[in-house]
Amino acid sequence: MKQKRQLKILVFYILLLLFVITSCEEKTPSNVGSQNIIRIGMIPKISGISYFDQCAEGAKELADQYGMELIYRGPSSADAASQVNIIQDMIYDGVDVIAIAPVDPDAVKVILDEARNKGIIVVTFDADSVEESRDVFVNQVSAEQLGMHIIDNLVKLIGDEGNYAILTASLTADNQNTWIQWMKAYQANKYPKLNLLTIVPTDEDQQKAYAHTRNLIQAYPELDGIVAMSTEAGPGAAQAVKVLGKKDDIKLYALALPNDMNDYLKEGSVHLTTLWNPYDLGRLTIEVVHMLLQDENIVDGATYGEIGPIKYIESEKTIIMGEPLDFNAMNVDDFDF
Amino acid sequence: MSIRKYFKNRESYIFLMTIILWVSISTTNLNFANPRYLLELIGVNSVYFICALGVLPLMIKGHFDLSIGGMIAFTSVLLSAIGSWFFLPAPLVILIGAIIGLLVGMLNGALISKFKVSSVVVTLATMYIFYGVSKYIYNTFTEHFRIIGEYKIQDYNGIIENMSVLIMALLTYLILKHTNFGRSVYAFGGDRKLAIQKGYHESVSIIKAHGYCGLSAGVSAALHLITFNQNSVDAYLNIEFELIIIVILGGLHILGGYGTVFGTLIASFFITILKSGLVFARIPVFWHDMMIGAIIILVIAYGVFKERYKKRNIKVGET
Repeated sequence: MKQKRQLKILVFYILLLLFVITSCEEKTPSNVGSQNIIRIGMIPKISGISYFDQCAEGAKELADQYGMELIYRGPSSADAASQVNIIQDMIYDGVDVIAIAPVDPDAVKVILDEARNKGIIVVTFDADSVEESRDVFVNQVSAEQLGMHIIDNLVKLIGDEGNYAILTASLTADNQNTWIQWMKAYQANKYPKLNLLTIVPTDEDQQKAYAHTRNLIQAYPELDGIVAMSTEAGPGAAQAVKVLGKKDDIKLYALALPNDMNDYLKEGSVHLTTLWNPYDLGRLTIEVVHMLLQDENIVDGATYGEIGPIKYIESEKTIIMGEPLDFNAMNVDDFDF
Repeated sequence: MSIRKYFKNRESYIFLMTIILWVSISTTNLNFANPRYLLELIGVNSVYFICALGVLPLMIKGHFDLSIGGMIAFTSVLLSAIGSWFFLPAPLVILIGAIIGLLVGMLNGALISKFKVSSVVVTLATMYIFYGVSKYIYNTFTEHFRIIGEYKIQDYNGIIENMSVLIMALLTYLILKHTNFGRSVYAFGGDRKLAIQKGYHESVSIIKAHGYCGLSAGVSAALHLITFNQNSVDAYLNIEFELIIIVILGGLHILGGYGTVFGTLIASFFITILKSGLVFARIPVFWHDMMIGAIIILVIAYGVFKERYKKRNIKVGET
């Protein structure tokens, strides 16, 4: 009697589980379609933040046009280990292409090599992995160019003898570290009196950026400017400057999405914002994937879709999307991303 | 109570440590000594204070809730959904947040008392559910979620956060000291069988304690929205670990049965000073995590040695 009841419960649970699993499946036409559809796994550094969501949106739109299926999945915190797990899942799932923005280039090297050995095309976007472990890197802007751009803009805001601090995404983010290196090199050469006081990580977290900006402003009275170098750090830092009423003393310069910074730019808590179009970055990534699949050659100086002219560095297999865009209170409404 | 007796309390060492830390950081940077800035710090880190107070009764009971970050995410997503349809003044946002959090927390408690499994296992599961639901709502209705917080005015700032911490501290104190529920929490934390013999109802106590923890998460979510005008699902990922450290530093007995509001407040303050102070002391960030870990171990070790010394003294006195 008791056994029978247990069996009933077990059967009930199995049926319930089956029901839940089948009802959760996304019923897109591409799932039902032909077997040889190209499937692309796209992995951001972190899911649920607007920058990468924009990338995914652009990528998805173009993938749909080309009849490819895009699977977008990222870790819930910027964590290299969970990225590795996601890549592993995607390899088992049998994707044809992996497009990834690695949190840590070395951490994903082994797994990306494994993927390529299985014939999967690996493309990096936003941030690079180790050069041998990917086919092409779709870079938004060259690190050197961006480093110079940031320092030049900063000097316009605080003059060439000021003190500034950097809010970075994380201390192991490869692209951020490279930008900072270029900034330091360029500044040492061109503006020797400009002084970098400290670098503080914000872990892609607004609350941390907010708290640390407040700390920085109080701890360093000589501070003239802050460079917030991640899309999550920008709004947090701007909020801190606004709350402390320091918008005239501290010049905040952010790499952030214009939509997030719109209000802050208009009221002056942030003085200037720079970014590239993440939507276009997603599109370009898919465009490159398409070309690799068709065995087309990527041409330096060509325009793909409406994006370009792009720069292609053959020796490093790196594509550079273009110049960064600057947003201020006057032009920020012209951009929607 | 004489001063000497006071310093035999479990809380006294963290109090002492906080003062030492505060003085030593203030010597490197005088700005830190400004009492106004200390108040500001409490405001900025109010979420940690409030959640630590909320989880205190639960930890005295010997339970824990791993879904606090998940509950904050869930409440803030729901709040901003409501805020995109209706105009809400800040106090009302906090009230609604508290109610949502309370209900979600009670759900946790109900599951635990119904299935009679460890709170850690159940809340680990519900953590995934809360994050999952929040992300689903967030990604589905993204365009609605930029609007909440338009009502925010400058004067609120800091005051509303500090007030919330104060009210939460008083509430927790009253609940623990003067209600039947508070007494049941200590009773169950001390000796479960004895508590049941005394006539305390176990499942009611569990549901209430988890509900209170959820309430603190809901209030935190509201405060986060009021400060940032934006919700971020992952903002308080892994906040639970920091809360464990805070409450244990505050003198909680790890097996349950002992813990005070005063100790928890001081320990929250200690962690806050530690995190901000390292920036003030101009220590390069590469050292921060290591130093935070090392200082916490030092403080815990000091507490343990003090306890041992005290016990030995009592024994010597007896013989």
